[in-house]
Amino acid sequence: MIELKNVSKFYPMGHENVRALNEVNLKIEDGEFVAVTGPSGSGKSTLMHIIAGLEKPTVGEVIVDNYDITHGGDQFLSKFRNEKIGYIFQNFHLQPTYNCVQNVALPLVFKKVPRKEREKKAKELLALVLLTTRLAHKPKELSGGERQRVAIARAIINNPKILLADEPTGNLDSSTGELIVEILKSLHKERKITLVVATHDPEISKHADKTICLKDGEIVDCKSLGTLSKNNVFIREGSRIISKKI
Amino acid sequence: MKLSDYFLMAASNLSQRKLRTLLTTFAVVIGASLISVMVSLGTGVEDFITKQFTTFVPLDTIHVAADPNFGKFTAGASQLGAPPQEINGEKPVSQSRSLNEKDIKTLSNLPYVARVDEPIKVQAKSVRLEEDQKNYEVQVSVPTPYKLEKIKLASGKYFEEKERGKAVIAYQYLKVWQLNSADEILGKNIYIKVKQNLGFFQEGEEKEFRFEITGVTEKTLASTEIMVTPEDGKEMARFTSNNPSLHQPNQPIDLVVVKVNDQKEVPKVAEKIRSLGYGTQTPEDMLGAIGQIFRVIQFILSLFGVIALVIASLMIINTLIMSTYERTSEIGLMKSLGANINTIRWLFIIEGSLIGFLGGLIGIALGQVFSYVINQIAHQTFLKEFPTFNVSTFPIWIPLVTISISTIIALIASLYPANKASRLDPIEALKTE
Ligand SMILES: Nc1ncnc2c1ncn2[C@@H]1O[C@H](COP(=O)(O)OP(=O)(O)O)[C@@H](O)[C@H]1O
Ligand SMILES: [Mg+2]
Repeated sequence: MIELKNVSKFYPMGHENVRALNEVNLKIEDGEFVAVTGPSGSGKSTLMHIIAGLEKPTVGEVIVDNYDITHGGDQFLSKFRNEKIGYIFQNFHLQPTYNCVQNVALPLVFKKVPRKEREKKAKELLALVLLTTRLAHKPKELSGGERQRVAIARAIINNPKILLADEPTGNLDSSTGELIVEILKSLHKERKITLVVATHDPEISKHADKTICLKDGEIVDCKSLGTLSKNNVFIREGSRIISKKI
Repeated sequence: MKLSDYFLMAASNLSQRKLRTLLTTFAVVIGASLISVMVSLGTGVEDFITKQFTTFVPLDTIHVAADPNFGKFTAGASQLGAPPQEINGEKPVSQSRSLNEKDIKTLSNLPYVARVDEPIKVQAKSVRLEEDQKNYEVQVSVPTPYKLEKIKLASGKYFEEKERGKAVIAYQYLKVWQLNSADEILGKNIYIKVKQNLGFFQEGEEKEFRFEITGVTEKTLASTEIMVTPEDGKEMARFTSNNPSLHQPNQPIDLVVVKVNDQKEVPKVAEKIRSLGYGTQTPEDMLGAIGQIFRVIQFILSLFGVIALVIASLMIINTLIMSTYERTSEIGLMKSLGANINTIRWLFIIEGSLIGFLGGLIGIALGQVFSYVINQIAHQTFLKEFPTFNVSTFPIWIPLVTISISTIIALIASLYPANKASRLDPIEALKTE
């Protein structure tokens, strides 16, 4: 279970504070699929970072899988990130000098898993995301969709209970994005992973068990995001924010 | 993270940036090779001097006299090069007491003492080869058996303690007797001429003693030395001093040489002997100053290498800091995937140390080459007469120490960049592209 109690995050900017998150309270049950939406700058990424233990809230408490991660030290948090959390970035963040197997196996390096064992596991997972033919390729030899599949394989190599994806399709065209969403959905279903996806993409929130809508760092009623329809969300296209009917 | 993974990752990072790694390593190489050459030059020369010295005075012996001031004020006895010592009141006059059988027994029974011998001094006039009429200068020495082990022979063998009429000659005699190889002279006879010393007003008799050559020493600085069998030495001494009771049992003895089982125990044994009221002189007393001078020279020479290594360490710091900038996003990623502060820190420390280790390794190899070249040049010029001595020696501790120094300096240099890298905020780091 993920629980945020009265969480706020401020960034000092000159004399003022930017409020990235403001008094957020939420609960995500084990095995739930939750979409986090909201316009750009609404605090989605900040929320994901805080759940992943990558950032600490300025105020409030974060409980993940019964661990209070607000007060954890470096040793605890890095182990927590390594074993409990799978994180998928919008821009993949693969190591350019590593091939696919090495990239996928990287989290196991920090867990002191022997090389043979971790590469075997990495190959299995690359097969799962349909990349068996790309094992020795470097990221720059892959398409965007393939890179994100490598990143997904890496995120689940430690069998995390929680998979966090921050705009996983944001850098992909829609058809490639669909495959990524399919993979995430099936991981959620088959492995009972708690899945939290921050997204502008209504395609994703459509499949979610519930959708959390953020605006200016606060959780708002999704209907208040502009239209009365539950299937309507605000999305940003370039500098404009547009409302899109699903 | 496993240790092997640290090394693999560090090595792979270094090989990603070949040119920079190469340049940084090169700086370490210069420092390490300078240090190793300088130190090996220093040890080589010190070794040379010490070896020469020990052909005269073995290091595991103590000279003992009855006079407690022996070794302190007598000529050449205090440390070579040491400042003159203050004398309170009267300058101590050597007491006339001699050593006797009882003293020798006391000394022999001390712990670690192997044996006690009376040194036999022979003043010889000249030496000639049987089939040659020319006389040559000579320094006759009567070695107690322990001394025999110390000087290597170029040819032949040493005589036994109880043998009579046998001699081992210095290598340099071969030249004057026009022999090409040391083997040719073995078995030949020489005559050593001695003269009675009866004081100023009376001319003493001369007498020749015959010896068969059993061995030739390697070339040393003692180029006119001839070692003779002890009993013959005593006889020669009795003749020259015109004192038939000299070196006979129950006669007073001026000086004895105490051989110690273990060279390390020499200072302790000397201390013990002094506490019994005797005067002592150890080889350390005489060598101490020489050793000190060489350590200072060695230190100054190595300082150049250390300066080079300090410059190298600045380059290592620079390399690693550039590396943290270039790899900011990688560090952020590693942290987000579970690397902790220490993981990142060690990764950079090992990377830096690896540069130091590699540089040290190559530097040592280069130092070996330099050392070899220096020795070759020396042997063709000023060391022509001493083919077995090297100006520059490379004992195993030099590479070990040099590699340790370069690695440790590199390790220290990498501490700051490593700390800097490990403290990066993962989120900020991931935002950098
Ligand atoms: N390191 C930071 N320093 C200052 N402001 C930040 C920082 N990170 C995020 N912000 C601000 O916090 C707000 C929320 O950002 P973010 O969580 O990235 O939103 P989203 O992911 O929904 O686009 C934005 O206004 C952003 O400018
Ligand atoms: Mg974002």
